[in-house]
Amino acid sequence: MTGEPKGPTSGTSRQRIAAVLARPGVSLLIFVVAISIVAGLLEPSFFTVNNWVNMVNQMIFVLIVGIGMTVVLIGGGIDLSVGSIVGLSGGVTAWLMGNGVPLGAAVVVGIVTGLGLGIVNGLVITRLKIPDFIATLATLAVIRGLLHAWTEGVPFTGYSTEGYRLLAGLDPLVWRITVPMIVAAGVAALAALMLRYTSIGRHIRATGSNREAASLAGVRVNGVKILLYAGSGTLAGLAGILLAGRLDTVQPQMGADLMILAIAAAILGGAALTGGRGSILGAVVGAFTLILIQNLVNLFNITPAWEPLIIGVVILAAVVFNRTSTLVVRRASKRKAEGVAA
Amino acid sequence: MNGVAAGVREDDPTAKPTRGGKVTEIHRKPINRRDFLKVGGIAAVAAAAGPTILAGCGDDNSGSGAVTGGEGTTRLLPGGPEYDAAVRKKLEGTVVKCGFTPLVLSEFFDEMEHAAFWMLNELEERFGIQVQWERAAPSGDFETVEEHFNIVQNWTQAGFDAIFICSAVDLQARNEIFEAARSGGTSVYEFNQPNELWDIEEQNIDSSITYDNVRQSGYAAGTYIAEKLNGEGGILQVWGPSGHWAEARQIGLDQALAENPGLKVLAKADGGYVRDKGFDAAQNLLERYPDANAIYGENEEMALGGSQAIDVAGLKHFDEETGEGILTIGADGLLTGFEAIKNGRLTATIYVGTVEQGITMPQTLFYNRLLGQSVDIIQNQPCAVVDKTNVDIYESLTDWALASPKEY
Repeated sequence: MTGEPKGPTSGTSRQRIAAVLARPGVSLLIFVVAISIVAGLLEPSFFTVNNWVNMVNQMIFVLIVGIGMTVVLIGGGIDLSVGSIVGLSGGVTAWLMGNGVPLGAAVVVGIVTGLGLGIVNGLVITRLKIPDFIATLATLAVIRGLLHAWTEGVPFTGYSTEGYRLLAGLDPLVWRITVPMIVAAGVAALAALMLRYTSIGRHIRATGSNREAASLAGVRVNGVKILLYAGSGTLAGLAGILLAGRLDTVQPQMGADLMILAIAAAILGGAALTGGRGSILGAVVGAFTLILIQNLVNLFNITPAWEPLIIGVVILAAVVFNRTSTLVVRRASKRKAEGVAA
Repeated sequence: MNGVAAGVREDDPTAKPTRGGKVTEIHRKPINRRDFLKVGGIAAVAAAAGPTILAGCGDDNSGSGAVTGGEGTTRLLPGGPEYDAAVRKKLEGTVVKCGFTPLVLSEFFDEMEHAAFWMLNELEERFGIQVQWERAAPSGDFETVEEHFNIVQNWTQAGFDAIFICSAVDLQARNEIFEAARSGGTSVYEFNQPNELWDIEEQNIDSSITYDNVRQSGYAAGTYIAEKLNGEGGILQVWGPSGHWAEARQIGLDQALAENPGLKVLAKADGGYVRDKGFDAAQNLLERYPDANAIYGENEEMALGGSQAIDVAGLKHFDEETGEGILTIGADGLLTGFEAIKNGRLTATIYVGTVEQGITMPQTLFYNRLLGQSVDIIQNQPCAVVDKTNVDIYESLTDWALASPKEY
């Protein structure tokens, strides 16, 4: 009989547990569950179906943009322009809807807008050899500036239709399930499958881990980069369309907060700014953590003046818990392995 | 430290609010609802009737103080042909460079600016003045000092005659910025600022064209809620980040609550002055307090977010006839808000004299800078609580403002 395959998951159950806990997002998930249990015991309105449906609907925009950001981070990049792409893509769709264009066409144009802007990012980075941070910082300003110039500070309003309300999740599709929930779940599933089971997913991780080595191994790193930013832009565009539908207004600053939230969701979920590491599960848990914190702040009636401090402290606690639990488990399994070896 | 309703004791409506431990005299005497409604009602009628009366009331051009015009002409300044001739003799050909810098580019400031264009156009046509108008606003966080400082400094260097500024920057920092401008010969006029929060002597400005955020906004909103709810009920506050406007409106609301002890604030959340955050915050608050009777959004965007949260939660909007449902009230007086009132998605809003501020800014420039007349340091404009009973008045006023004959 052939021996069991050697790898990180072979060996004792403790090592298996260690391997699971070391995966991006898992420790954070444990933290979220623990916080949720405590919150539910202290405040009954926390554990209602309504509240959880609300949180899921609120997190969708951060999640979709966060998934794009996670994949970009894994690939060794960073996309600072996502918030601006959300705003402009949402604005394009809203403007078209307001001028009588059918919903389907307006949505397609909005998504293409995000895709196009993402490709521009990729080309600026790969063709002009400008670092990702600088390039997307510049496009952040340019794209936001376009929206400002177009709106002249006055928001687009009054464009919503029944169909758009349904698309944006203001009306449920069936029971409490909304279209954005399905869209976000689909995006997460596709992204996770892509990263895990496709060659492009492997190429993305390789590029993020060591760009030179990946290039020498035959990975078309420039193509990977363009694909990363095209994907991020497309997802930002999608989020912008959904957000414009949810709010029935596109302000010039729409989506501005989403950039930092997306990065926070990705990092909380275990993505590394240095590249090569991250997971979609982590992005999901990271996005949910951010919304959960805001929800708790509101339910527990924390004075608005204290909100930023409380949110910062909880995020810090989540990161410390995440890091600490990973280290503890790794050390424990290392000691066990050394004990077995001895 | 600036705190929300710092120093205001709930059980003493005449207690003076404090900032950093220093008592600020905001009201000379306690106001009651009857006084407020009387003054507010007169002001509301004046605000509504003013442009209508002034626009094309016959052809009498000889009366002093009568503002008349020919068909289709709106004359906002008083004076007949002889006055015009005398002023024109003094000012014809004068080039006036003005800067307009709100704290952010938005629908609210766009409406105000268009109202100003009416007045600027009249100054040009009646007196032969040439106006150069520039607009700039901070592009990042509106509470940062640097951008507004740079804007004012650049305009002062360029020899601007006047700067109209609405800034979220703290008083000390604003005074520093304004000192540099005024000592360089540039007049500084604030607008839309809660100047009632500070002593007049402390403010380094030529004038402020504004409204009283405490009395005319926070107190007005709280009084309206009390009237509609018969003095009993729970309020959810969706508030902006800590700052002057939030503080001033909170003080006013607290005074209204002190007069109506049956009203309680159930919870308060930060809505960030934007629709999406206001929506999320209201959704979360309604989850905890589904029996709330009112949502008070410190601005209209957050109030509209609250309205959306009511829809999504399957709750009812306020019905005046039955008294059931959740009342929603905001502040600003935007066309989008008026539309929401008309279609029942917003109960009321506070019209904060947007058009009047816009018109008065260039008027102040004319009287104070060009003719050398003295003006009051604080020029509060008429405001009104707008609901279904009077929304047509303010909507038409705003529509008029947006149809300015010339863009600058």
